[in-house]
Amino acid sequence: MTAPARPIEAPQARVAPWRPAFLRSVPLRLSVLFICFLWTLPTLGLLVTSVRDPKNITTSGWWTALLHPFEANQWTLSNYQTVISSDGMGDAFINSLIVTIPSVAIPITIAAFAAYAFAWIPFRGRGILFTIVVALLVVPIQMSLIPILQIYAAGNLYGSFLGIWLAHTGFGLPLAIFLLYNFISQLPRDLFESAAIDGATHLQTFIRLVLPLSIPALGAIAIFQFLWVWNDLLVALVFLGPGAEVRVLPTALYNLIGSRGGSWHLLTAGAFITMVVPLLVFLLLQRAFVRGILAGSVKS
Amino acid sequence: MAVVARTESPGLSRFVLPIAGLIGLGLCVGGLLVLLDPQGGANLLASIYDALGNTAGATDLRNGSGDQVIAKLLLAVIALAVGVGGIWLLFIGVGSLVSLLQAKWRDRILPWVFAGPALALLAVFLVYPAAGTVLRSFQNDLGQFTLANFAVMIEPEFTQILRNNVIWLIVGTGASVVLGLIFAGLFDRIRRESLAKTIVFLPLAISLVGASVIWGFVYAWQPAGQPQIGLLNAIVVAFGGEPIPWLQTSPINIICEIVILVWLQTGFAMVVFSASIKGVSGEVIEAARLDGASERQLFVRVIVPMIRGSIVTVATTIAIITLKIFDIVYVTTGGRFNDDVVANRMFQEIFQFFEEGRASALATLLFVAVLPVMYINLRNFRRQQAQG
Amino acid sequence: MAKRLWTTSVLAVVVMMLVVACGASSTSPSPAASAAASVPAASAAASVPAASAAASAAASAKPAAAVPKVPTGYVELDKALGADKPFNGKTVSIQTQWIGGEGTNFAASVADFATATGIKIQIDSIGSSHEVVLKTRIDGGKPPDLAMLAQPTPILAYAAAGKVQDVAKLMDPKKLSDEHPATIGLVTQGAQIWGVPYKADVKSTIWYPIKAFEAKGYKVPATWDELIALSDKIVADGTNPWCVSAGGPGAATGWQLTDWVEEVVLKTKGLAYYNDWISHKVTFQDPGIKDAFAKVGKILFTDKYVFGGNTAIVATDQKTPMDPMFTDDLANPKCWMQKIPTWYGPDFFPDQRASGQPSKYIIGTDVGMFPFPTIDPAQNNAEGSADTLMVLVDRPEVRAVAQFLATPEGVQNWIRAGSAISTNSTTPADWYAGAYKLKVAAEIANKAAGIGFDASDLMPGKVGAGTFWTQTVQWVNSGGTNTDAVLKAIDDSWPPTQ
Repeated sequence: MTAPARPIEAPQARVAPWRPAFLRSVPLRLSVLFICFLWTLPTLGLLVTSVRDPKNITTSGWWTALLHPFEANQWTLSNYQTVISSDGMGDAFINSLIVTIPSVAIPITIAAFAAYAFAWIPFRGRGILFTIVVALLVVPIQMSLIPILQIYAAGNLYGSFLGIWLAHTGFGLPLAIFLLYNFISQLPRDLFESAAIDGATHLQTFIRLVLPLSIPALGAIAIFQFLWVWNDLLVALVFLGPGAEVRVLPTALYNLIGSRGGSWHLLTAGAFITMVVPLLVFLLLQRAFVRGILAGSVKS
Repeated sequence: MAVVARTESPGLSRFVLPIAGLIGLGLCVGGLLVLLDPQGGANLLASIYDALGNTAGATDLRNGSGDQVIAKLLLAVIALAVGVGGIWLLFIGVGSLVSLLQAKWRDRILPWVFAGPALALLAVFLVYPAAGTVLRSFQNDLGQFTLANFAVMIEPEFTQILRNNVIWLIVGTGASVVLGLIFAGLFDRIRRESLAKTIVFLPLAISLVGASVIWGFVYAWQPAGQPQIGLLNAIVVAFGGEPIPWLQTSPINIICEIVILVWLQTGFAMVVFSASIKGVSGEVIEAARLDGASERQLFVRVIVPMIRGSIVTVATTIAIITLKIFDIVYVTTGGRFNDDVVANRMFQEIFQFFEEGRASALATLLFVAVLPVMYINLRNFRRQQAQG
Repeated sequence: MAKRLWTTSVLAVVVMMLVVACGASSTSPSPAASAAASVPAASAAASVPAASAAASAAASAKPAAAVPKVPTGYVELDKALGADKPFNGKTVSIQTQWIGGEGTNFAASVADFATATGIKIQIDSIGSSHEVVLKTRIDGGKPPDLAMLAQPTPILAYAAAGKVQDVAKLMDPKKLSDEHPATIGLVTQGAQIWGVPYKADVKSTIWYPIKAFEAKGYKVPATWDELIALSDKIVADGTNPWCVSAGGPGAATGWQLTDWVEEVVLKTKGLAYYNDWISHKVTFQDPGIKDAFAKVGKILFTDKYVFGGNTAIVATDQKTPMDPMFTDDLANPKCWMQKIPTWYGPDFFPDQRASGQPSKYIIGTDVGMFPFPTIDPAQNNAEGSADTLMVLVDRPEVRAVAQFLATPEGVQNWIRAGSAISTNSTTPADWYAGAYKLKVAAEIANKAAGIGFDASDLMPGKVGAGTFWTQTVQWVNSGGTNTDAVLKAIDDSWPPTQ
């Protein structure tokens, strides 16, 4: 019997077969509200502080500002203005983007392949190797900095963007592999069995089957790696160097704030500004979550 | 027999992919050469400008001024092309090459093609330093073998440090995992799920510096009689109490610091659990419902066991984070108030006391402490492979 | 949909910010003088081209360039200042901890020299990650050419590891030693000198509100007994005399407490004893040290002496303890005295902290400093500290910069800003005139029988940056009840002598 050649298809999206029972009970709804309120409280404090007149910050609690919201002279956007217009902030922003985006894309690619191998390609030593990869999560960064810098110094990688992309890739791989493995290994086995029956190679299975199904996982890891690299200060200082042309956003903000510590009004405004981009990325990737999630469990 | 789409005549076309891969690889090497030069972006852009006739712009670039931003962006684009595209080409090219081999060789080599780049990078960036650290912990400053560095563990404060790390481990991991589960389950069932998830996730987007500022405003202390600027003390005073210096009072300060971690990490746990929960097969749930399970029983008895793998993953990750917790303690109290932890002590040994040997001994201790976690993961891994 | 609207509006906000940021940065293409600056030819203070420190012929508005006159006594420095500018275009990198106001002042200090010689001085201001980044760069093989450190101990540690250049080989060692008599000993080992002392600080100062003192008829105390009497009087009048912070937050907690103890030791037992204490010939459990702790305890723990009690000491961070002094614009201080070095004001006055604009409180009129009172009249010693320059790479232009920083002109613009004291003893005294802070500091230094360097900066790191800090914090936290245990703990932690 010669059926016509049938390429492997990604499974079709299917509406979730069960609807979660929407919370009818009021106590549970209230608890959700309460949780969200509690969780946001500290961030709310940050937001309020960032728009307050600096003189008031150390003299009264931030919630008092909320109690008298219409006293106009206590609110100000000048903190944000100071931060945004300070020297080199725009360059730092761009440098941060340049450092972060490849530092997210590259490790995810490499980790996806490796996770698939650990999950679905049986080979000798797989268990031990995987456990070692997970164990590498514990290596403290401070211990890696000096040996790697020695290698970079010898290899002329110091101060180059390539160096920092590689470094962030190396440091971010254990978690990325671990999390991706977690998702990929939970895909239904019959999926792979039928693909094997169809004569698909591992490569084809990976590209056409596993990757589309792993989009939520890939999105999640993209977020975490993005956050880690975007907010990183130390690795950038060490491998890129302190020079002004390669300074990233956290360093620039930190320099703004002063050596013996907090101008809280600038710190809070700065924290919010740094937060905007990762938040955007999260929101945009949220849609990937939703779409991928609808694919749910799949019929092969 | 259904087969993968292949043209009728094998032979040449089987080599298309590998050859394309190799060409791509060549391009990547070129890109790499540009990337390796610290001035690569500027030089490349300068060459482009020269070709376009904009010699003034080219000279500017070579001098370090001019369109540096565009040069940097060019560099980033090349990096993405090489890093992502190149890696893809590499995988596909080599993968296809290997697929051409006999089954026996193919099955032996292919896993290493897939996992090879990752393992190579890990070996350089993490294994090499870790091995060096362990070695260093057995050496004194002159390079001779010694066990003296491990004496750091019998010093009197060390019992307290260990105790603190254990508290972090148990409370921090436990709270984050449990809360993450609860939130993932709860939010699954409300309409504004995205919003709720974003709110719980938001703290992760705030850098650690920002987080310590925020929580500074929660735990701040002012003498009695002065207006309180810390939220907790404002509440305490409003109820008629005396303000408490939260971060300076042991042992409650450890819990206060753990709260910061939980605030941050629960978002992580929730995101992972949420995605896993969505992947639970609908039929199983329908069946349980038909059997008369209540929603709570459904969650606890059916869903949770099914996402056991994710729970182990998340718990492992957060456990390891608590083992090496540093930033929160360093910024809030510096470990001064009976709340010191191993990583903070390690930091001091290297950068303030200039005692690398002792710091390495502490790091080796961390590596040993993670062995039980590794063991659990290995068992989990083996079990997963067995059942599939 | 709502979600799409929200995403779009957030995107719009981000785009706007990007535009503003790019707009802002494109109008200032070269990094300006705040925070890390690579200082090219032009900078605010340096618009007067100067090959030597000749007074400018123009009106008195422009001060003379802060550049030493040739011949300076240093070989490469003379070459650099020569008319042919042999080092023109070369770059020298220097890493410091100074950001914010201090960073600006340091940049100004080297700006004139950079103009005069054409050397591009790249200042890497790192802030509180300074030690971490420095150690990593040095051990990793990519050190900066020069580095500034606030303590000599790390310099000696790096020297022991062979990472530091011997300054005695890079410039005239006799001239260097003669001009830095008080500080060169800290970085000298036999014939080898490992650093160039740069900027000094006097620590034996107590800040107070001048006008408020006059209004209440308080007199500046000159002796310990007068200090205690004044404190009692202030308590009787209803407020707290002392604003004290341990120096936090975080890992910095504790340094001010060590300063208190060191001050008292210097003023009760003298310089020889003090130096023996640093080298551990005198242990912490010695009666003299215990007595010093008791005296400090009298200030810190007597009921109502400290604003907020001993909890405030550990819970207040180092920027804010003096804020209660400024109540009602200094008319009704809630605490009256803070022992802290000269660099504190005006940068940390509450209004300048909040607005970033110069404080409206004038130092010398509204707020001032008096010397820490004598305890034993025979032991009128003062405590000081210094920042020292470390040379990590040897090149002719690096030598020139290091030599420049060894001259009084190396700190001149900082002195002009009223905020620094040079470690160079040939610095003309009239440079300090007119700046209140520097006058007070200079007087203290001149009147002192001897100057003791900050002890915790000289003790082995494990104690000086470790147990001495952490144990005194514990001591304060317990209200001073566990003195013996604390002293014993510090002694026990002293590393075995190598």
